[in-house]
Amino acid sequence: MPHHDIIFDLGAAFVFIALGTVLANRLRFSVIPLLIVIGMLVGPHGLEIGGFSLQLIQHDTVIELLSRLGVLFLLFYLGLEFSLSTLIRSGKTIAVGGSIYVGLNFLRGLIFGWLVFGMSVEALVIAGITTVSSSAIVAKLLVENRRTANPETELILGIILYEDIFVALYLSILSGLVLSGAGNITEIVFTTGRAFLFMLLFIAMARLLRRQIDRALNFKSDEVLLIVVFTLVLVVAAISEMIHVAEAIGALLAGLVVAETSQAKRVEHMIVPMRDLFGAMFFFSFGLLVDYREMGGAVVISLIAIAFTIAGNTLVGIIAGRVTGYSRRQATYVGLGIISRGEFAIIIASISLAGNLSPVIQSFTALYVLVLAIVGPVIFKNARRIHERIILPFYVWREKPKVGQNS
Amino acid sequence: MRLTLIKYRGETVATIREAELPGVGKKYEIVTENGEKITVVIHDDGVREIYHFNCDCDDDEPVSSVVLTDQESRQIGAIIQGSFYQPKALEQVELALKGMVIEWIKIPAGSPIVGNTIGKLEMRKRRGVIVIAVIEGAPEHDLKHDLRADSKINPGPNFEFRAGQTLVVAGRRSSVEALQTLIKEGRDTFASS
Repeated sequence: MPHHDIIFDLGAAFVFIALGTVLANRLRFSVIPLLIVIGMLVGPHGLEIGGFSLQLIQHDTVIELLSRLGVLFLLFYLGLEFSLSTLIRSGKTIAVGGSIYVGLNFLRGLIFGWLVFGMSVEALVIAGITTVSSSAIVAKLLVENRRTANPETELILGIILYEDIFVALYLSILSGLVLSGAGNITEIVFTTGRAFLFMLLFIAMARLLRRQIDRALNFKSDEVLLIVVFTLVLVVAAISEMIHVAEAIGALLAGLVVAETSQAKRVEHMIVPMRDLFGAMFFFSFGLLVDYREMGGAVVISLIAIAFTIAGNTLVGIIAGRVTGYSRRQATYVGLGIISRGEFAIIIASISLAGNLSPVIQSFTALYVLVLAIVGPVIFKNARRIHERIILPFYVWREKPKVGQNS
Repeated sequence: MRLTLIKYRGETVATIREAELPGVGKKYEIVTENGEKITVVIHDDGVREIYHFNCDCDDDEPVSSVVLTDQESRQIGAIIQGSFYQPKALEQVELALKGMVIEWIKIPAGSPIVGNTIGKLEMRKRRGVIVIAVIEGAPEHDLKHDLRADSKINPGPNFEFRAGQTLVVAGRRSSVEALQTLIKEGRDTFASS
């Protein structure tokens, strides 16, 4: 392949990203799996039919840089959006439901990971990928299906909030395990402990210096604020990387800090475009690295994982819903509403790639996210029918008699 | 889920249930006197959704729903509030502006303020209420017409109140409500300072 200017390469990559985004928008389909598929088709392992090759885009340093920025801003945004006060205000129901859901669901993921990979880091990776749903897709589904007013939606969105906490804890453990190359138990405990300590110290310092940070960020000019925040994200990420905590965690921490300041809303407006732009590159570049010819080994695992996820998620959602006092149908909606997987699965998979874990994980994740992104919305749209035809006949959990209601 | 009791003239009129929808916005549920439920979802990006349910029960299919932009919701909100058209049936209408209200109060026969003057009642000084205008007779016709023909705008301290007049007063909600109690029920609840 002839050597082009970097702008030419970048332009070529973005032509495909733009095509994918436009197409996803037209089809009202989640953009994440579509970008991955397009990346797979035009990347270094791309489609070849006869003499015709679609292998147009290389995974070069520019693409890698932008995609890493994508992860940083996805997590910075997560931290920025995460609000402790909202979590506290949302109340006990959400706390109970969210903990039950995330706990049981992760357990389900661990069991599956253990069945496939035995006791290994890979098992933990698979558990993470199959546990965390896509906040973006779930929220979009609720809005599109006009279910924001329904009572159980509070629990669904609360669960997502708890998943965000889970992501932070999980990523710090995983990055300790994967990125530091720790071999034995003491090293694992040491690196994980260091990651936690770093997070705790960082959060404690941020809380202590909250007023000073608030004042320091109080720039009138958008330009200045943007550049300072961008720098903050990069610096915290770089420091984290230096002490073997995933740079993504660093970005998340930076987000948590900025979220506490009075500039949070302004920063959010600035960051969303960057998250979308670089995030798209991240999903696309993840696709570039996947060789669909090697997917054969992942197909069976993926399909089992998908079936296991749908069934397990539904069950766990119903349990969380019923325990917190929702009706049968509402509990079913909780279970069926959180099936879609997306950005976090891909982020976890890309960390495993950086740690040279089993390459099957890449293909597995691509397939898994793709299928669930297609199936998830279909399931949610038909939740009522699924509830009445499939779930209700199996019900052993009796409906609690409602006070003042004859049913 | 938080409960907010909306008080109107000291009476609880509606219970508004308020809930966080993390990542989406906020949700408000109001059960009307007729037993129907209205749910308003305010998205973080300004979009409002209004859902109408037949009852305050588990039925999850709304009778109808509307999606409004920020601009549209404000306009509709103003219409519902009565900023453009005051229903004739209502004797009193209030306009709320950041805790300040403008209220129409009709003086009933036998009210303790009948025969008193603005100055004697220390309306502005002690009660924190300004009488913007006094409309003679019932405000049943076009307001503008009434104000021009039979009413006094910005009456002075020597203005004497008579039964049947309607006062247009402005002030803090608490002050205006206290004045209302005085005019209608004859109880002087103002803190004497």
